[in-house]
Amino acid sequence: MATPWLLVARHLRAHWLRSGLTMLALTVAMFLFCFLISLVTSLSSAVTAAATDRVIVQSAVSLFVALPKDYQPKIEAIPGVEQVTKFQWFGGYYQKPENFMGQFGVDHEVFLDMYRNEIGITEALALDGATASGDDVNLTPVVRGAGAGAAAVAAMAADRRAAIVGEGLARDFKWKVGDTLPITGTIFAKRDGSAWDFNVVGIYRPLKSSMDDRTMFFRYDYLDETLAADGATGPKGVGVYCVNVAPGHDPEAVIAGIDALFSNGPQATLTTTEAAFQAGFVSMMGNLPFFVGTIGGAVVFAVVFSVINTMLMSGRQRMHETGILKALGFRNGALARLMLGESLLLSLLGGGLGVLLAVVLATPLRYLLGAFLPNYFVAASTVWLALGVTLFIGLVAGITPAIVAARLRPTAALRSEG
Amino acid sequence: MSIIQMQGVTKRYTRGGETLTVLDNLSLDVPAGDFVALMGPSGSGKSTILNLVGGLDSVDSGSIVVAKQEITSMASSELPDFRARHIGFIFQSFNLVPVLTAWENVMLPLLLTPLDRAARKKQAEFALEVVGLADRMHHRPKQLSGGQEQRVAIARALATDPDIILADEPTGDLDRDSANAIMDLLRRLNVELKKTLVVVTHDHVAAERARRVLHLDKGVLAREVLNDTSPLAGARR
Amino acid sequence: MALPLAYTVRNIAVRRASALFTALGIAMTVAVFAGVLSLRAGFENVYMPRGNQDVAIYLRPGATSEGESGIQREQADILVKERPEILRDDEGRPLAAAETFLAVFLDKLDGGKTNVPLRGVQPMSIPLRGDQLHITSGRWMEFGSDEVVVGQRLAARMQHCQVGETLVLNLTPFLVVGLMDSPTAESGEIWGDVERMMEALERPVFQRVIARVRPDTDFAALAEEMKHDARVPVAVSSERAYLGKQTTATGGMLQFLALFLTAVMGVAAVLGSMNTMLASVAARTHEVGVLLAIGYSRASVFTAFLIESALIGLLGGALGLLIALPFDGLQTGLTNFNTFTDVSFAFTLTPALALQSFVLAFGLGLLGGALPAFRASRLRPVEALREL
Repeated sequence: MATPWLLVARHLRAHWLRSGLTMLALTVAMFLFCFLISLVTSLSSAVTAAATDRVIVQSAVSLFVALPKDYQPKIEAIPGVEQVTKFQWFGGYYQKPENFMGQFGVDHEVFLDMYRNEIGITEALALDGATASGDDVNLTPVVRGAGAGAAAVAAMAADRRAAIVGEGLARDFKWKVGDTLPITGTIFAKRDGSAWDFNVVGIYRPLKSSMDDRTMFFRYDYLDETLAADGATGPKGVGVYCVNVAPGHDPEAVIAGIDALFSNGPQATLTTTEAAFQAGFVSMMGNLPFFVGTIGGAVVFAVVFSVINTMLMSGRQRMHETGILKALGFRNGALARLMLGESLLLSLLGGGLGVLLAVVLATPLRYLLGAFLPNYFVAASTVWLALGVTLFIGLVAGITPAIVAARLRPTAALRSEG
Repeated sequence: MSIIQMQGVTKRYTRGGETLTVLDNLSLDVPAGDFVALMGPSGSGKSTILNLVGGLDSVDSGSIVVAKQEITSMASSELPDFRARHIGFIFQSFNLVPVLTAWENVMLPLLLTPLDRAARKKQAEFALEVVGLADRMHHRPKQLSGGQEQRVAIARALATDPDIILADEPTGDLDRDSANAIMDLLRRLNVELKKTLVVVTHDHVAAERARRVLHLDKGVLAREVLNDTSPLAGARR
Repeated sequence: MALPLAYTVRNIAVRRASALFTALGIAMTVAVFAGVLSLRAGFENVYMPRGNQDVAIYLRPGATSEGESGIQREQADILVKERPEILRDDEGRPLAAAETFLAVFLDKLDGGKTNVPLRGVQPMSIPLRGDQLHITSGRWMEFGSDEVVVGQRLAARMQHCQVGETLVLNLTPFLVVGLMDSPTAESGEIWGDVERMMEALERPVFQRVIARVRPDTDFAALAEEMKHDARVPVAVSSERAYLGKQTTATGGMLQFLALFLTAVMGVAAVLGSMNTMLASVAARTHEVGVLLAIGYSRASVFTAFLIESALIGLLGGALGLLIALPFDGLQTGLTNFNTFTDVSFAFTLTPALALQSFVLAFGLGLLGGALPAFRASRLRPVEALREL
């Protein structure tokens, strides 16, 4: 089974320009392939990572129809319901309309407890020193680490305008605990035309991929009381209720119970698991998976041609050498392995670099995608798939020249030009 | 005892719809340790004999026994191993692998032997020493002269210690002096290392180094000439 | 002296497998480019305001789209009746309508739910749209009754949207009595009587007022004036300007996608064609030596190889358009991220896009051929002749 593998490396080096160009094309293509697949997996990761013990109650009519506030005690009374928080989409922006982000009004008394598995507070305002801070932001007392969660709960309770922001937002907009954020409401406009003020009392890090790091959570009662006092205009009511199901209870039974309770109105509800709710948002992207699949296929297709081309050229130039090796006593299999090996090495070097690039550039790309896809990441399964595709490309490109080399008659091969 | 026995070998080629009989019922015996030069005009079948004996090509009829193995009845998948074990090839255009150094070219056929790394190294060093190129072994073929390239090719043919060395016009691409040196080297392989040599050549001067010169014409043996076989004969001119 | 074009064409023919593979690489790039941009063209077509720039849209101050807007009934009444810029018809009625807008859940034919624009309209809404909006089957809804008319493009993709079927909105069943069509967004909407919608959905607020205004209306001045109006502060803009702003998010995303994908795939395609041309040059080194020796200039050798590469590029362009062509006219839907509603539209491969695709393919070919052509033109005749 002797195979002179050294020749593979020597040939790649001897035709360095051709090898390099082919590898680069593969690098670019596999990078793009990983990126496209990651778009889909990142989008759907919110679905797969969704909490199984949580259900979402929304209007059966529309995403934009609010539910009455008095639904909350009725939901809380249903057997199996552990905790309920409102989620009210605020739809504001910071300074410029381009800086849009998710902002939700929540029930601060229960929210952080309900989402303890999804949201980890990294730093929070320390209440005891709050008055001493004055105007100098550097003196704002901050709790980091283990005590931050409890401090955030306390700080939320103490300040009607309190808000917790994701670390992605904090990084991009250079927000710190203690900052006051002017947020212009597009759905909820202040009567006097001014922006809403929110005080950052905590910064969180997402603990699961169903949560992103570019959301702001604030107190629902701040919004509600401002609307009630006619300080602002906008729809009253609640966007969705998030319900944690008590351990040992069937979420499906809770879903059925909630929808049955409100089937006669005034607003019919559509209660779903968190996964189905997230899936609804994913499906709003339309046929994205199909779309991305088509383009990904085209990319692979295009680069396959490029590699096939290179290997055919390489095979043609190698005919004479094939004759020499056969005369020396190398078997047909060895010649086939040489061609296939060259093709595979070329593919794996180029494609592997592309996959590596996709992994390394995942974080900068997430920043670049910003609000469009705040939880962009490259999954391990994507890496394996891409490497598999790379391997496949190498096989496809190498198979023809390998068979040709194996079948070549030594005398004919020796007669061919070197 | 014959190391090569060709019995009634016929070989035809079809080219452009025309059938050409290259070898016509040819029989030939080469005893072990012989040094045979094959001469004759183009198309007389000299190179075909080498290709057939080396298992690079197959006969239309007849049988060939090389080193006690009937290669004409071997499966084509067995021929590479046969070549690796028994045959060393030398070509007119040297046929070194251009991307490998002289050393690596010589090591190449040794990969096909069961020898371990150290033994292979020893064999290659020995072969390069025999051809007198130990000092140039890390050069690529393009960095060598024609004569040097052919020496590397001879070292490569020699490295696996085969019984038979087949040389097809080994001096065809060389100037007179280099050609003489190569033929002297081949003669040394025969005399000192007891290799059986079959050399195809156009060159009468080169053919003088052989013990026997066989003249071929149109696929049949035309005549045979025995040379002076004394060890000093090579240095006569 | 220039080398004849026949020489170049013959060279491509000789290396046709390799040329075809290269062309296919370029074709894929062009197909993706043309495909994504025809998606964008189709999407933006829907929002392209045709003709009337004398239609005004009144929204709540600060709102950037209807979904966010809200106008109280009294405010809408004042606007419609009292605004001096609003035209009136022969009978003295203002050419204006207050409308509601809501993205409602609807079941797609191929499964899943999507957000579909539901519009509550007043009788004046229909003539305001002009002749482009028309009924293709059935009839307009009866105002005051629980009837709706569905846009034709939408009906093709959603359940319960054919004439005679029933759509349940919250708790009230609405009968589909007709299908409407227009080249613009209405073909992807559902229309019903605004009063019935408000009641069924329990949303007693209008989202906007739409009106035909005097052709000489200065929208900038009007907007400035209305922003601080004491009784009814509103944001007013022309329909054209309003629609133009409704495509920024999704249109921008598609544009970015097209450019990003084209750039990345283009790089791969250029690398591929560079490879092919390098091989073409390598295989013809001796030939180039002959050409240079018999007196052809380096410039003509350079040009000949460059043309060869560009021709392969054009071939790729043609193949790519052939791949993209079947998509033209294909109905699809996308979410408009400005309004969060589903937009029904067709891939539209415009002639301009086809031309751009060809230019792209040509450019990719040239780019891939430049370096190899330069290499060929720099060959030294004596050495080139020695190569066999």
